[in-house]
Amino acid sequence: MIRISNLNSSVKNFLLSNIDLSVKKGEYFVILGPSGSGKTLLIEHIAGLYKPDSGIISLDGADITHTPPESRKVGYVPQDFVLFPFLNVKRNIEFGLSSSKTASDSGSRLSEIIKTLRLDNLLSRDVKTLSGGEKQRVALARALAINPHVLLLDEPFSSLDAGFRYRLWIEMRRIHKELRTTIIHITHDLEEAFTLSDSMAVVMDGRIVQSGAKEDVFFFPRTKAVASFFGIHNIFNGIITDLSIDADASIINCGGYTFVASYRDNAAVGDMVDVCIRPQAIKVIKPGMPIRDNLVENLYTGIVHSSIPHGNTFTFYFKPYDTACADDSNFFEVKLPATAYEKLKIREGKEITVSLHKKAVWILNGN
Amino acid sequence: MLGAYFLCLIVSLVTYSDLRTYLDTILSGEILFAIKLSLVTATVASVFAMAIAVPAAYALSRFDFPGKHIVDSLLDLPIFISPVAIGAMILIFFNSNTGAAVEKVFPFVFEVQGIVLAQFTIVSALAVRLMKSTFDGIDTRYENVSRTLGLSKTKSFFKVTLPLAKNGLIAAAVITWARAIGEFGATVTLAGATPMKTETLPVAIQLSFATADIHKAAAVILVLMIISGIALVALRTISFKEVMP
Repeated sequence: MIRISNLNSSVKNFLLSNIDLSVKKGEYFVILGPSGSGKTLLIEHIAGLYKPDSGIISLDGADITHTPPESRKVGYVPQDFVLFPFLNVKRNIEFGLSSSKTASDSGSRLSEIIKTLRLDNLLSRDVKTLSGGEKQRVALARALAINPHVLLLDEPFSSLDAGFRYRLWIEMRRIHKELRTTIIHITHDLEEAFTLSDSMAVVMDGRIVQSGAKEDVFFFPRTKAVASFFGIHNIFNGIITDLSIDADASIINCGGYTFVASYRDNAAVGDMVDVCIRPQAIKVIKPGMPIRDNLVENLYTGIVHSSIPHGNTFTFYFKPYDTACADDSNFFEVKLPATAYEKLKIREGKEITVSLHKKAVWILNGN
Repeated sequence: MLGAYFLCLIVSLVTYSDLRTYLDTILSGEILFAIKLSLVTATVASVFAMAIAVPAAYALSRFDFPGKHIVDSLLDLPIFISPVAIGAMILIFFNSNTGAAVEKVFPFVFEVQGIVLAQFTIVSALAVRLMKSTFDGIDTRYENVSRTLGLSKTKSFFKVTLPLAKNGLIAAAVITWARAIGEFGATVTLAGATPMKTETLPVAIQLSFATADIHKAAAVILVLMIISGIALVALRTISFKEVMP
């Protein structure tokens, strides 16, 4: 288990502040955040390449805050893999084994890694001739060869083509399942984070703004900044007009819309809040079909304003009739699979009814 | 235009004398001595310069320490100041108490060792500059990865940084050596221009002109040009290897 407690560090005018993080043994943990948020700097601290100004980094209970990188047994795969160009594939993989600290009991493990990563046919190749995916597997094998306590991956798929990336995500999950190494993986790609992680943390401006199980983080962003980073445009500012613990309801008036959300125990009537709604959570009601009980609380009829096709999905913008606000920020953004979009015959200018489960109306904590 | 100009200079040099005269002059005892002395002193000076340049350049490239900018600027002095002035500064140093004590144990002034010292002083700064730019061009992430794989800072330097710097190191050594072999100002000021003693190839050119022996001067210039040409071909080969490994 790796634990970071109250870590603060200043490197080249960038600050990591109050970092608290806990990664369980064998877990696939993703640190998610926009470019320049401090993700790489954070894992470089875990690797021992920087020393924090304060705070503790511990590994399996042992304080490693001031342990040099060569004594940490932390595997590190940087962005672009950084393979040694003067060594072939085999010698790159074996590089860390030349160190006496890691030489013992390496033979069978190395064979297992080479087999798991399907590198048998590449061992004599010059690393400069490898494809992006092959380089990635060699870099992984090199880091895994030292039998690390934890493997740190810095945006390992960012330089690869989209189609190829999906294949490697599946491959990565297989490798993790087989080797059960604790992995901390950083990325700015939401889909990648969700596909690979067991748990995740969101880093913004050098701080961890949210962490937990991936579903909790992904479906229930805590702040407006996290929700925006997740690409949620349905963020509405409003006032709580009623709260009912018995009905499990918070009534929020957002400039014309009234939303019913689940009961919020730390809120009070009159509080100004932001609510966010994931575009995938908005249901389009098929005309003439009965509406389920759990969807009647948030029911809106209006006009489809515009739509954008994405191949497999459609995004469209919907404006309810009964909103008092005319500005564009009060459109609902809705995402539907292309098949559903076609089946419901959604077109610009068409009148439709949409609905929301109250759990899909998520009250944010702050900015 | 510039190429044509240099070509004119080379053609006029090559055609100044006939082949027989050139060969006779080059194979004379004095010029063979000058060739040998130049090759030996430039090689020794370059080895010392590179031995100091590699760690110094690495430290300047990778570490921050108090006074780093001052050290960095001091290293530019031999590049910016006239070699004659550098030679005179060394001479003045050997007139000081410390210098005189050194001179008593190991004489430099008007000696062959003085040639090596003069050449070393001129080329060491250049070697540091060249090696620093080589190390600056090597991504520190290679060393970082090496350390996470269990190698200490020192081991990472020898097993990762130096192999990555190989071509830059060879190129720096070749340029340093070529600069040392052509060094004149500091050499003549510190070691003098004694025929068959401190007579390097540039000194031989100066001595030939002093005695109005232009054919001899042209022959020595031709030798220097051939040596420079070989160094240039070596450099081009290294550059080509860097582009097409």
